[in-house]
Amino acid sequence: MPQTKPPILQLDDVRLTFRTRAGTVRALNGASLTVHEGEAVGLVGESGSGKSTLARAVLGLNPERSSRIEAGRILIAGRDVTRLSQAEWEAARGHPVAMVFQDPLSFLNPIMRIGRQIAESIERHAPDRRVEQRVGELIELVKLPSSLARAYPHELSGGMRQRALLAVALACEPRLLIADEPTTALDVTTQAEILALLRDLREKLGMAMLLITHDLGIVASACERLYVIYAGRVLEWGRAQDVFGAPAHPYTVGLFHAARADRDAQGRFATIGGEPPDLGETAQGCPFAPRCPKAMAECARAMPHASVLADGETHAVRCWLYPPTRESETAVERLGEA
Amino acid sequence: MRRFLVARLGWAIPVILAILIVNFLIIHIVPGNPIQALIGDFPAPPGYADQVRHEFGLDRPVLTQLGLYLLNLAKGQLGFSFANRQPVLGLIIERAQFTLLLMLPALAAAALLGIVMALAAAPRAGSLYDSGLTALSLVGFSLPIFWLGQLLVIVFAIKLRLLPAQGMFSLRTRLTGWAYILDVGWHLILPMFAVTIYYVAIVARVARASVLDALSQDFVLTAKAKGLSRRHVLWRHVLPNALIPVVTVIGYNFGYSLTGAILVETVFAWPGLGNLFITSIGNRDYPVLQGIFLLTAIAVVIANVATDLIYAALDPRVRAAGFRHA
Ligand SMILES: Nc1ncnc2c1ncn2[C@@H]1O[C@H](COP(=O)(O)OP(=O)(O)O)[C@@H](O)[C@H]1O
Ligand SMILES: [Mg+2]
Repeated sequence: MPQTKPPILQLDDVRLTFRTRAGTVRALNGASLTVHEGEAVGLVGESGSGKSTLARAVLGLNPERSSRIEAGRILIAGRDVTRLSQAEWEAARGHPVAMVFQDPLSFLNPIMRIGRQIAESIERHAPDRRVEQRVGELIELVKLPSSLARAYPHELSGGMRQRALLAVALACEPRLLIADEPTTALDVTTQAEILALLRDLREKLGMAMLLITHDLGIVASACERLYVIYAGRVLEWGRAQDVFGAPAHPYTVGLFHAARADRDAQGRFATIGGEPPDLGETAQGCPFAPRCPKAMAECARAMPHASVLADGETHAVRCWLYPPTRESETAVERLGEA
Repeated sequence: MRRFLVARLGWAIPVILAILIVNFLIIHIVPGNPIQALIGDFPAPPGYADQVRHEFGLDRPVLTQLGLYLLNLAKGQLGFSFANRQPVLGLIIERAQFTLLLMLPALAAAALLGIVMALAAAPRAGSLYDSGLTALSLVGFSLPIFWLGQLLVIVFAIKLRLLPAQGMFSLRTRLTGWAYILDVGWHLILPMFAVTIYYVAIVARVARASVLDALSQDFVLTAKAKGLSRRHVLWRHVLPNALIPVVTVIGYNFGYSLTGAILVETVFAWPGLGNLFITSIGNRDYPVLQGIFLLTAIAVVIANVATDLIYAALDPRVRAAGFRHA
């Protein structure tokens, strides 16, 4: 599926490390990803696979002193933000990319009224607007009662807080909204409401969305394309319908089993067996190999290039089960990834 | 809010009463003789001591004395100072003013300085500036205040002859109006400096920890993500959240500051409550000691209630809890 719209966000082989007391953590190991204007893209992976780190890297929000982008590029609407200074970041955040976070209680300032927290975004990004009126509009937009402008976060339910957090981000008038597990802290009914709201908002505002989740079910209902990430590496990506129709990477297959809550003979929920990878080592081969039910000798030796699976170049995977051909390599380049 | 206040103050009355009774008994159990202290070493006629003892009611059983004291207290009478030949209430109020004159500006300055220092240091945790500040506040905190006071006197009063060493007024002149105020201010500098250093160290330590804690909170990330400047995030999001524990420390210290100045007042001969306390112990001046205990207990209670109110003003979550429980 050739994308006609220009990319709003591009990550190109990004490597990011954290320095910790226990040593270096390689959180992103050559992550590449593209979101086009207006597009809804999912980023899926187990907990600890580097999703939040990737999202934060896009806004320069990883800890300034302990994190470092070692290689690769991050482009926002074509502008390279990989090496921005803190002052430049202050000018760049919020627009055109804004972000909502996982736990809506801890991510709202507990002692500031909801309306004020929204107003701060407006004053920063659209100062000529009539702030109070605009706060009202935004609160209405996320379908909260207007009286909540004067409420404090602790007075709201989980779902309402997530809406409030959404209003804070939307007040920046973003062209891309990054939502980092926006429904993980919520119960199932509220999850569905928030997802429906996100879909509505995207249609109404025409903004792109990068939806981060560990739950493939959420991606199915909300995203056109998706990336599957493990150990800071994208292992599979493509149009949602293609990946869902024929998941290729054993890791993706494992995630599908977990999402459908398949039970094994003992009635336990299926999870992918084994331990998450040690990010302190530079893995030579595929990071998933030690846990992969289909691991082969090659897997430990090197990471394969991407191979395109579907006709129309809409689905690609990096796995030795699908050795890349020359044609597929050029196709991958045309896909704009890897 | 009203019910919260009533509940807190209602609880305070039995607490203060208990403090008074315990202190009354302690003072009277501790050996020492107020009459001897009062008459001094002069040879007095044999009946005189007994007469004085009877005059002040000191020949009655301790429990009777306690009962009488509480009865008088209920009538608003704090008694009469043997040593100062003056009603206790007036004496204590006069001295408390001098103490407040010393402590209020010192505490305010310490609070401001401590918070600003912490705000500057915490975002650069681990830097040279931050480590320096931590080390300094540790030193300031552990310096004995009388030692620091004497050091200040030696350097600024005796060696450099810049500031007066002792007291609150220049003794040989009778000043009025602005000259009087300036003179008191002049005498105030050194003792206030000593107190400020001590409290700055305390406030800076607590404030640094709570600013660091607030900085690591998730909402700081939201504030940054919307593009707010570092300064805006620090002053509008981090500081108000960090103030909550700092206010507690300042508020509770404030309650004790009335008598907390004992050492400084002694070193600088500042005529405040602390000074009165020490001389009254020497004189076994029971009514004055009792009065100081009463005032301190009341001050601590009021400071704690005020702290809770400020707390509630800063934190809507506390407000909500307060309404529900009180
Ligand atoms: N600030 C940090 N300092 C050190 N390590 C971190 C930090 N943030 C994340 N990590 C590590 O990076 C890896 C990826 O974390 P994260 O991006 O939060 O994963 P996810 O969001 O997919 O659960 C994890 O191993 C995590 O421990
Ligand atoms: Mg995460």
